[in-house]
Amino acid sequence: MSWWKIALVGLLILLMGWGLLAAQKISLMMWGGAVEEKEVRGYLAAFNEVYPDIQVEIIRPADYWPKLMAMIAAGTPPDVFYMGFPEFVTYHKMGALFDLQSYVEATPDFNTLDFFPGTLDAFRDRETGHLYGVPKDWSTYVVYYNVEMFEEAGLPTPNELFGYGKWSWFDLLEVAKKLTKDIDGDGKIDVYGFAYNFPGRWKLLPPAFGAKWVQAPEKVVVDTPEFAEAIQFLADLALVHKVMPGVTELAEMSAPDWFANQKAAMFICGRWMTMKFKTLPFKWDIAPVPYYRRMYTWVDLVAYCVAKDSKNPDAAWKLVNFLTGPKGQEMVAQAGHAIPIRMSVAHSPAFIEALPELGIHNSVHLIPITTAPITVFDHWGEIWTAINRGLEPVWTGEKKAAEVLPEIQAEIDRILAEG
Amino acid sequence: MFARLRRYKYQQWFWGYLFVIPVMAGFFLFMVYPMISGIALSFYQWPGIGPKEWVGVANYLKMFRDVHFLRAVGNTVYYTLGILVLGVPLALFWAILLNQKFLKGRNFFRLIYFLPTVTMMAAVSMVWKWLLSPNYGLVNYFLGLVGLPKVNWLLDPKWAMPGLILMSIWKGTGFNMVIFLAGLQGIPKTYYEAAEIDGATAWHKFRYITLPLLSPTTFFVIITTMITSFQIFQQAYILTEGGPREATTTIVFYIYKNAFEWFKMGYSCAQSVFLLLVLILATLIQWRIQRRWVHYA
Repeated sequence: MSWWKIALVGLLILLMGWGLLAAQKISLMMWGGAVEEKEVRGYLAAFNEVYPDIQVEIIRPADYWPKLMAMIAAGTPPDVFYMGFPEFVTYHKMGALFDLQSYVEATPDFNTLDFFPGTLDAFRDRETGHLYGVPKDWSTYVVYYNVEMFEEAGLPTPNELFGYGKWSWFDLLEVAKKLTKDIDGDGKIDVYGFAYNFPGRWKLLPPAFGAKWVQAPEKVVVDTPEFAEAIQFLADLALVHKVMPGVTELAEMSAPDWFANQKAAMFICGRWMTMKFKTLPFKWDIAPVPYYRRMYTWVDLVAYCVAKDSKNPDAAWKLVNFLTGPKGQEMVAQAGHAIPIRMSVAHSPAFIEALPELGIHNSVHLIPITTAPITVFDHWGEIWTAINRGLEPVWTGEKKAAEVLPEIQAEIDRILAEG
Repeated sequence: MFARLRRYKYQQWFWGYLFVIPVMAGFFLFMVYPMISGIALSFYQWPGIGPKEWVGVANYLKMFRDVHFLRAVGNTVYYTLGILVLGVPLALFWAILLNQKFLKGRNFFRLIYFLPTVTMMAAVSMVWKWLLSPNYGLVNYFLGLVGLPKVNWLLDPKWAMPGLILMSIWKGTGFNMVIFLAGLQGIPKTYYEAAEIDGATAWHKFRYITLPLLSPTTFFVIITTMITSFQIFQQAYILTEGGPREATTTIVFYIYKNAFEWFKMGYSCAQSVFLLLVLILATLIQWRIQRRWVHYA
């Protein structure tokens, strides 16, 4: 045998060994900051206690969506990755996601009934009903409020007002008026009653005001009196009543920072802010979002999806099943960035009594206002952009909501007509 | 076969080709191939993954009816003109200033002016977001000192683009300045000495010696600045997100939106091809005009 034959055999053995090793190596792609990555590393450590032979590599790119698309297009996708419910529709349509139905059926303790109603359905194929992603956690919007400011002003807290049945958006306005102060008397407001990233998150109001604006994937109707009323009410909080930082003020300081710096008494956002607010030096709590004609809060829902081209779907499923299982969801409950997706965990002390040092009412997130996410309409990104852009003159006070909505509607119809 | 290879080893052309193979392979793989497939994709409707649908020139026809795209073209032209009209003369001015022998610490100032060029755009943008902030920003503070009204820089559709231009000039002028400096130092001193003996003023020297002899450099600076300005993206992405009211939505920003947020890969490729054609055309026109004003010594 000549030397090169020996070398060839050696190389083959090496390749086979490497192949065997690689078989148990999968990747998980996530978004978020370094804090979230630390959380996920904790989840993976627990995962490896059960499955020591599966190595999970974390990928956390700076721009998640272009990176994911490039990796899938190149045929080397991450095995498991985060997927928002709107993006799911697009990626599923492109055929990039793995059909998990057979795994679900082969896993007896998966228990689909334990998931919050509607959350699994957001990741099913509309026709076959097969599951293409398992929700990893979810979040509802809540009111964060500065307990000390309410005590100082001698006002009932939002939670108490909700209990009295006096927590409509107009009640929020009245409370905010009492909390808005010009302390040094220079004519400039120092403390606002309420802060909200309204140019990006106006979506919370129209349904509460009775607007049914997403009627079907191909039917989005914003040019209605209810929609206009909701938008105008929100704009007027800053423009007319001056109880909320306006566009210019938000450019100086973001809405969560207005709250965190004790320059706003109330603030609305999802559960992930709890993680950020953990270390604030004052006492705060959470309360339900106000209602009006309807009770409504926004639901954010993210799933783990497995890539269709995954080299190791078995290991990927084990990871997904573990992370969305009772053990994985208990860790989600402790982290404070989201609500567990399993009702058994969310309604257990693991979540209700999570973060005891803060003494906040975690159960507010479980008030059954809405559990299903909004219907995903076609051309999702482009239509949001069109609405946000069209509403800009309303936020600055140059135009009334009722004036711009017909133009926005025309733009939406044009985009949807493209097909 | 080995014998033949061994024979080639002693021939010059063999080594020549061997050495350019890595570069050429990279060039074809990472430049030519993506460019050609990009052009091909512009004739398809494609969400980025999965099957493609042939649509002919539909993407190109759509482009010219798309008001948002046309606005992006307008914004990009506005930006490019701003940089060319304000930024390039400023770079020349600094270069001439920092080329003066009497100036103490010239190298220090050259370094200072060049520094923004090598700093990261993401970091620079955050700093400028603060500088341009309406109530607490330094820019407005200085405007106030000289009695000018406050400007709502990045939030006012009229002022967002000037704000971007201001920042980009600060960021990019140092680079052009260095190129102008190199050009200035290539002009022989004897011309100036001869002119002085003939009684030329500083303006005469600048107008009839510096400008003509610097014109090849100026030409280079204008062409490269135009090409990079047409591709402006990062500033708009980080500083203004294309707003307010699309005032800073540039061509490349709109291409990015279409490709990666709206999954219209084919349409965005058509826009890229359009940008390429515009740049080629603009460069060709410049080559034409240069005969009238560029003097090669």
